[in-house]
Amino acid sequence: MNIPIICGETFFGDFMKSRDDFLLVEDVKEMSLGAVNKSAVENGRIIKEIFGGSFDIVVKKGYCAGKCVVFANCDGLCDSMRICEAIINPMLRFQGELTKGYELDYICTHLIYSTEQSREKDLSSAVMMLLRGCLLVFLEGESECLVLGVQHYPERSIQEPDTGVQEFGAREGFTENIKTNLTLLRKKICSSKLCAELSEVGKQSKTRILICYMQGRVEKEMLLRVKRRLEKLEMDTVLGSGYLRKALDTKAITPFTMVGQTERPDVFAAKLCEGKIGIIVDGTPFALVVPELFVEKFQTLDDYINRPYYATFMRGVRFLAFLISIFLPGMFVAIGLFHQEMIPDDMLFNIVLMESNTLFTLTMEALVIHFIYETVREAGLRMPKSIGHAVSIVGALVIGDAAVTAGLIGAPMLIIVALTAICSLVSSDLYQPISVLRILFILVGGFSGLYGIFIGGAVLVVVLSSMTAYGVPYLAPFSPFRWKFLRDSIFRTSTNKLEKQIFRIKNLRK
Amino acid sequence: MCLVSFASCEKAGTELSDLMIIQGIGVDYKDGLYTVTVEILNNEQSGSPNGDSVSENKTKIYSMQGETVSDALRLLTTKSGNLPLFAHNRVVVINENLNEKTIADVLEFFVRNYDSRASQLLCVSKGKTAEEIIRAKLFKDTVKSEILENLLTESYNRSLVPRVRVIDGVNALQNKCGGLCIPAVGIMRNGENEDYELLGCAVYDENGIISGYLSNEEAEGMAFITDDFREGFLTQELYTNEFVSIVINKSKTKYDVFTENGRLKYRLTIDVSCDLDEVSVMEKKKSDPEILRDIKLSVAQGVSQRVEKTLDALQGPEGADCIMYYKLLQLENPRLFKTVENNWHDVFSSAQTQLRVNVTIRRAGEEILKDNETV
Amino acid sequence: MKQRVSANQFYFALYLSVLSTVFMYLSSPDIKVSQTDSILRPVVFCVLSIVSVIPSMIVVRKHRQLKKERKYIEKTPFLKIIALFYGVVFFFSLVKTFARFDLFVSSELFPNADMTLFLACIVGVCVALSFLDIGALGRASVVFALVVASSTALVMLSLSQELDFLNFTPLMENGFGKFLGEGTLFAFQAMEIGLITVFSTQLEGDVEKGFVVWSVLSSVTFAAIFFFVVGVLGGFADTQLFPTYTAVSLASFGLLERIDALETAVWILCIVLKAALFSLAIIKSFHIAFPKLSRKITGTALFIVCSVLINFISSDIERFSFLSSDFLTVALFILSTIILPVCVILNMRRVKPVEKLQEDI
Repeated sequence: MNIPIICGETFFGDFMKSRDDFLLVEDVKEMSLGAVNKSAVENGRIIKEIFGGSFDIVVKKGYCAGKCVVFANCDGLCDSMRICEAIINPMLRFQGELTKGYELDYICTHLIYSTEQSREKDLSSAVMMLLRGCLLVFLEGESECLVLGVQHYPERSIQEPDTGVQEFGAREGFTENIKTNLTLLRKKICSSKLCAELSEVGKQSKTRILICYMQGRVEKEMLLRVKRRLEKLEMDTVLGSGYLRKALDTKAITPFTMVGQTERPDVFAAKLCEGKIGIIVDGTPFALVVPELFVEKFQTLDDYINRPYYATFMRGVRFLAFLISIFLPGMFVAIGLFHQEMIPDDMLFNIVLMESNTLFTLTMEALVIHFIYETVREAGLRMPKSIGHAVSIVGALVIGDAAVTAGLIGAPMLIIVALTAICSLVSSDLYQPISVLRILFILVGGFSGLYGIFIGGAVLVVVLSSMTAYGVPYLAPFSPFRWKFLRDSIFRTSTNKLEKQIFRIKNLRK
Repeated sequence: MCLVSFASCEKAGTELSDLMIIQGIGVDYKDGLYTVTVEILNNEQSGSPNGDSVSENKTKIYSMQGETVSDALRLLTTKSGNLPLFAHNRVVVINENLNEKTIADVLEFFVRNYDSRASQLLCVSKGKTAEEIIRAKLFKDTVKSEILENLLTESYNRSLVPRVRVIDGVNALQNKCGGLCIPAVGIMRNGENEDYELLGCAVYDENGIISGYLSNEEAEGMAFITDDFREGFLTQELYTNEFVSIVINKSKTKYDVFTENGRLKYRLTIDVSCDLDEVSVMEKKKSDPEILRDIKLSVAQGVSQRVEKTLDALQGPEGADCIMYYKLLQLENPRLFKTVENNWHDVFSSAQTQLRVNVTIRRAGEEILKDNETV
Repeated sequence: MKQRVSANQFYFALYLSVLSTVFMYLSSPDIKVSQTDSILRPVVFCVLSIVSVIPSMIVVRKHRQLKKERKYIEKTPFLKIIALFYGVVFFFSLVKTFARFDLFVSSELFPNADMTLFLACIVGVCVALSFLDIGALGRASVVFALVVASSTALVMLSLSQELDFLNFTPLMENGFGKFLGEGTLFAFQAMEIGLITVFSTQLEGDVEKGFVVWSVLSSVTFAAIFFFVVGVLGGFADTQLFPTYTAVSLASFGLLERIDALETAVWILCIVLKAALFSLAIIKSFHIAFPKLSRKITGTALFIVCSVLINFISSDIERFSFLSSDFLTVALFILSTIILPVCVILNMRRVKPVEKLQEDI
């Protein structure tokens, strides 16, 4: 994937500037095409010229009531049949006379069939609308053009999302189409309070984004700060929602993020109802939610469908799995190297027997097997699905059997890594920090035992405590401790209690 | 690359394969030299990485000599090439002939060593050297220290001997008034093989030197006196050639210290709760309501006899205050204790004990009992 | 912008900080930890801490009254001198904390290892954490407190089987005077009280009530810990350099024995937090004394000086003995909790109302 424009604020900014093959944001000036020409043909020529004769840009000339008219559209983004039947055909067949001085009005009200209509005086803006799939109609002698909504994008149908899988939730997920996504959201929240403000990001890509929130529930100051941050975003192309994280995250140096991501309209709607702000980005099914708390990483929609005791139990399991996935390999290395007294007698003897014939040191063993695991995982993710099974078999054989038999790694370490790998997939949102922190804790545990791990843990907790997004501490409601909000954290009380005091994110502000 | 090199080259901690896991230690002393015998787990067996079966001995035994215990143990590293790990040591066997040195000197190493746990068990080798105990030829390839530890633990659980850990040893010997009873073990022949056997307790006096022994019978009363009773069996003759066996499952001792006519007196009230295990009396007598009272009387007598035997042995010429009488007085009457502190051995020997045993029968098997009387 | 911290979170941090003193309690030949008096010494701590905090509380109150004048107060030369003193006092306390930790680590945790790099890493981590300011430390301390409290409670539960009432001794065997002296010396180790003045401008909420709760809760925790140390170890406690650690090493849960490594690892959270608090106090004090000195430079210098000094002290036990001498302990405590806060109050009294100050400028 080529991202030609790099933000000028990056560390490499100066370096990039000196290279011709990179273009900085400062250099990208809006090329203004000026106002719409009175000559329809001239407008058609300019459009053809600025697109360099691209074959998908269709410019058609005709006559309506004796006046020259030019139609311009982008083939593939529009419904061609509709253009012909509802717009071109009625106009070109019209033999009457257009009301003088009100030609465009006449065309709109008497000739064509289109629900989305607007007018544009600026040619640059009109071209932008063309790129959004609209049909431009230039009439000779008119200083403005008609912009008609005839979009028809190639679109994926609504499917069940692959991420954030729910046992009892809806089977529909966001698509790449911003309108479809908003429609899905409206289906979930049938309220006039739901507000979706359209905005654009990316100097070049002009990616449309929807800033969604619930009026009355969202905190105005928070909303303003989010908008301001998005406005300030200096990026050339925004090809996915992840591009916006940088602008929305408030603390740069941390492995965790306070920007949530979901592919599910139901989850998105639930977050908006809590007073959070959602951002739907055109061209990606992943919508963003700010701010997201640490505790939310362990919550799923199923928790609110299941009985409270089971939901609480599962949240506990998820949290434990998170701790295991970060600390277990490091702790095993630390105990094996420094605190052998902690291992029960019989178990120690067995572990010693198994580990005494391996090639690497315990730390190295842990690192090697994690490297193998991450490589197999990455290969499984990127490779064509048709050869997925082959990689799985090789991975299982290499890690599971051959490595142990060859004496590269010991069986206890294999069990630890297998357990860790499974645990790390429980909270998939946290996989990225988990995989990196795990390696760090292996190194720290191998260097200074459990003490190093706990010092590392202390650093992690302080860093997490220092994180606040839009005034909301990341570790809330645990730190700062808010007893009232514990009812829906790691614990989940009954729905009645939750309904009595509806959670709003603004209540957690410092 | 740096991280990988760091992880493989940095010699932080000790690799599991470089460890020498010590299971038992025996300490002998002769001609100014300590002989320390250790039993270690044999982790150099030809096992596979996935822990398949092994064919060599489970443990190895080394003996070293040195001027101190630490000095001798240091030689262990040069013998095996691995680093000793004391944290998993189960038992420390001390030779009974360690008369020239006090037990405190021996324990010094274990107190100071950061690695060894304060809860490892202590025992004394009786009739054999500590080395012989550690090197005993048991019937199968097993961890000998584990067998020894099980013997001591089970004996303690049956209230036959006290449990003495390193911490107990140090605590008892720190005070110049207190003595210490350490379980004594020996070896008995069992065909071609050998077995460990419990031989009562060795009594260490206030100076930390063995002053005598308690037989198994004499040691049985210790648990009642020190209120450390866990579980025990008692068989008493109820009538002529008719016996009753009971399981004592609970015992609680209350103390009272007082002086009478210038003599120090202790009043021990022992509440015993027991289950009837076997009553081998004639069938017609079983229905006699008096039998319950007789059983209780008999149990009370049995407990009293045990306690008296122990007290007689400890207050005798070869005894010492291993039952913490000095501590009871110190807590009850610190002023009085200060006056007798320097002469405690004599005061203890002449101290009188009044005994009161309350017996409660909790379960009687198939028979229904009407009441729980106090005897 | 200075971070604000609620009084409750701040006292959580102080609670953990002061707990580290008991976790790393050092046996001394003069004060026997095995005596039952140890359990009552925290009472003296409670009373003394409440008395000694009065000047600091006045400082907090004054700061709240003189909100507008605060920036002028910080510019007064007298306050700069006081801040310098504070910096030096807390620097000594920090070095003392690390030196004790070094002794603990090298005696109990890694006796065979070279501690130079390990200690330098810890000093670095603590100084780095102090850059995240008091708000983050306060919030993190709530999580730490949860971990420390639950693990300590579990250890106590396990140790309850090992309690032996014969290990206790008669109360105040050596007289009330000696008991009072020992209790006072124990209380003087709580240098954390001095931190209240340093962070007085950043505290929010009911500071007085929070302190009383802190003091009582700390005393109860100390008493509980000493109760187990005495009841489990008896006279053995006097033979051990770190008796609390030895007591913990006797705890076991079924198959799991020797969980002392895990428990001490949890205690390290307290030590890290304490060191981070003191580092922050030092950086803050030096920043007031020398406003042109950036916090990062002060922090880096603190890291280097502290690492070098601790490794210097680590190489000779006599150097440590001097640092932990009774005289130094008493002097640092009185200086940080009585003399310096009183000086701060005097300085505040000299400050004119803000309108007058603006006129002067």
